[in-house]
Amino acid sequence: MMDLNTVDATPTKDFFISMLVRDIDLIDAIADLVDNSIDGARRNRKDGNYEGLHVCLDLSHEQFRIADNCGGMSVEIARSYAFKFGRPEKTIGVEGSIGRFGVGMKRSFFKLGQAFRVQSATVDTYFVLEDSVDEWRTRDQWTFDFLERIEPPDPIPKGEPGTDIVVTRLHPEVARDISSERFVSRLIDDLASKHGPAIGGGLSISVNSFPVLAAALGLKQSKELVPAFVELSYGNTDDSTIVVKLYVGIDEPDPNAAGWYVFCNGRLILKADQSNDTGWKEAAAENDQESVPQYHNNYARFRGFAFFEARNPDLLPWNTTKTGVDMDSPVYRSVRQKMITKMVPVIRFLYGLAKERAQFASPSDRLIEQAVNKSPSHKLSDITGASVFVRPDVTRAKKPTTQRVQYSKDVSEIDLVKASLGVTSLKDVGEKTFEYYLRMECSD
Amino acid sequence: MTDKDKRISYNVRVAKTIERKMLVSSFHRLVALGRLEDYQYVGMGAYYFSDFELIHKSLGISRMTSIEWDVNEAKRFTANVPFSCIDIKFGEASDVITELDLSVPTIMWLDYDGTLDSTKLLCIKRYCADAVERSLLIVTVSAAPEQIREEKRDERLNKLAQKVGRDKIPPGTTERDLPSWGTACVLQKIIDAEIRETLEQRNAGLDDGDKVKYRQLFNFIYADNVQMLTVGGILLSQRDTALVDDRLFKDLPFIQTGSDAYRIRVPVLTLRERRYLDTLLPLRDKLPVFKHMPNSDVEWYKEIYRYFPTFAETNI
Repeated sequence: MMDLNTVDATPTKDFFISMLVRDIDLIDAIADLVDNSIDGARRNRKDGNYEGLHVCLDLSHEQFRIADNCGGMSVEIARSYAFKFGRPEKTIGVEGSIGRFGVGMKRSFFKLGQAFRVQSATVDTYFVLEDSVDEWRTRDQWTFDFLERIEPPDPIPKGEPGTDIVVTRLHPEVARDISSERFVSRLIDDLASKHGPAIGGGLSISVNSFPVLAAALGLKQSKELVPAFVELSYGNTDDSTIVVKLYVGIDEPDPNAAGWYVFCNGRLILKADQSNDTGWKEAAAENDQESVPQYHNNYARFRGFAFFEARNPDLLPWNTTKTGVDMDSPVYRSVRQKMITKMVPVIRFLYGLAKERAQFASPSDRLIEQAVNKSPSHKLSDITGASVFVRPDVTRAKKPTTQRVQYSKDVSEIDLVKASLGVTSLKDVGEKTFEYYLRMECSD
Repeated sequence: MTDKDKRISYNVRVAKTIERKMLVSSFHRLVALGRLEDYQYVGMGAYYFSDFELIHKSLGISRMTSIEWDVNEAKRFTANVPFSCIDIKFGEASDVITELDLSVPTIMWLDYDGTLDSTKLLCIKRYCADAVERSLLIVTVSAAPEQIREEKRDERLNKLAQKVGRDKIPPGTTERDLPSWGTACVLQKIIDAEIRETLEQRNAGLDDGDKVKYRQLFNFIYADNVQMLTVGGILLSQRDTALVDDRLFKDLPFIQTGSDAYRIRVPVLTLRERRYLDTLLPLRDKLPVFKHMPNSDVEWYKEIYRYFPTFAETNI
């Protein structure tokens, strides 16, 4: 019995089952499960070489399955941590992990369907856990039971360390979505950008046997065109340190790819962002027409990459669904300031490039553009960078060889000249009279 | 402005010259933090490059950039460059600043004739976001109170708000704060707040020991013709802060770390009078009272004689 002086604030299971899932869309929920696999890879391969590791997703009308060989989760982790809602304060997280909030996996199960089965093996433990959400909802206990369990001093389990998760009795709309080809394409595309660095490190991800190929992140670099590169460090102890790397420069024009890419521990949080979250608007002076603040096709070449790395993922500036940055994070505010000062010269250069394009119809006259085109794209890992963006020497730009002459005259007088010249357009009036004067008065 | 100030020809800009010399004499003190030759100087040299000349010759700084807005006059600017080590960069200062390598300790003097506005504040922000510790920022703007034309309520305050943005005006500022040197005082606060706000953002997330501090050193007001304000200071690492606070600039009378300004007053004295006074200076005690020279001028001269310029007409 509760004291009359006490107010009940215990959570209901329903809150977790139906409320939490509203904040995340299906693709992000699946990406959360992939994050767990990648955390395993990061834990086991500290050097970032993921050759030989794989994450396989199988999506059908009947079930969702994700299986990896990335190290698995131990019985102890499962028992006291992985299935808990929210992360106990004292838990030692995975160093440099992507998982952070202690909601991802469960939220994904609830988002997908009514029944789940988790089987996981590590070097010396193995377990199988199965439950159905509708039954669990009605039970009083906040627990799940192992179906099978091996842990020391039991004999070492057979098989490769890894995790195999199956969700069945899918929600009808989920079953419909994930069995469509279009959804599979979108998922592949999403995983390719979100996990580019892990895939680049050799991790193989597949969806329905289609390989997920990482979009190569690159920037143009040559002797006269050097991206800006900055490395920043916050905090002094290993556990409080966040290391941030910024690359800012240009690549091939692509309006959909232009903008900022923000990664936290290798996981893409913002893609091709052109919002003020990344300072896009502030990067140009409001009073300065030379640097148009709002995104425009002129800036389709712009690329900025921000990599945040921390052993303690709590420090990273991401929101719980990993779909945006936490604008209140002090570190992010500080980094954003740097992002702005580093992007201004690039924006300004791109404006000059657009101006050159407008001035000269023939590509052979566009000297800055030629210098840009001659500069090859390089993978980010090959970018050396400079503290400030180095651009091709703009003073080389050609001066325009023609200029426009404009004036206004009385309509009656113009008509007289038109009749006299035998022309009908104002353009002809101007050009013919000019040519006449030039011929009669200015030739030797 | 006093009548005496007006008697000085605007062309020679005595107060400005004194200010320039005072700034440079304080730059000499930076040697305690590192080699002066390692600094770069960024200014707005226009056609005259007076500051560049003084700084190059007296400090040995030879990495110099002049920011110019008017690219159409490029040829004239370039033709007037006094040393080969001066690079002119054309464009809006707020943009050009982001193209400078500010990982080198920098002395930047944003020496404007016009009044403070949001573009100038943006320059301050961009510089302070990036400049490495030991760097200096000096900002000169006109501090003349706005002309009152229509006698509208809060006319000066509204005009200021239009220029810098209402959110930048210190809370509690009223129309009565703006006449005479009041505008300078308000502008100093606005500039100071901009620097501090930028640094606060820059320092967010950093451990205390890694934070960059700002110490104001300069808060000059003077009027060769119009009222002018020069505010500035130095960005410091935790390590250097104590050194700067304790002694680095201690004995320089014009150093102002707070909102009280140092007014550069130009004494009106003849060359003979100055020569005579020089023979008595520096002085530990009070100067004797002179019958033939105004005592206020003598007092002012005592403070600035080391920086007082001599202008002469010569045939070159």
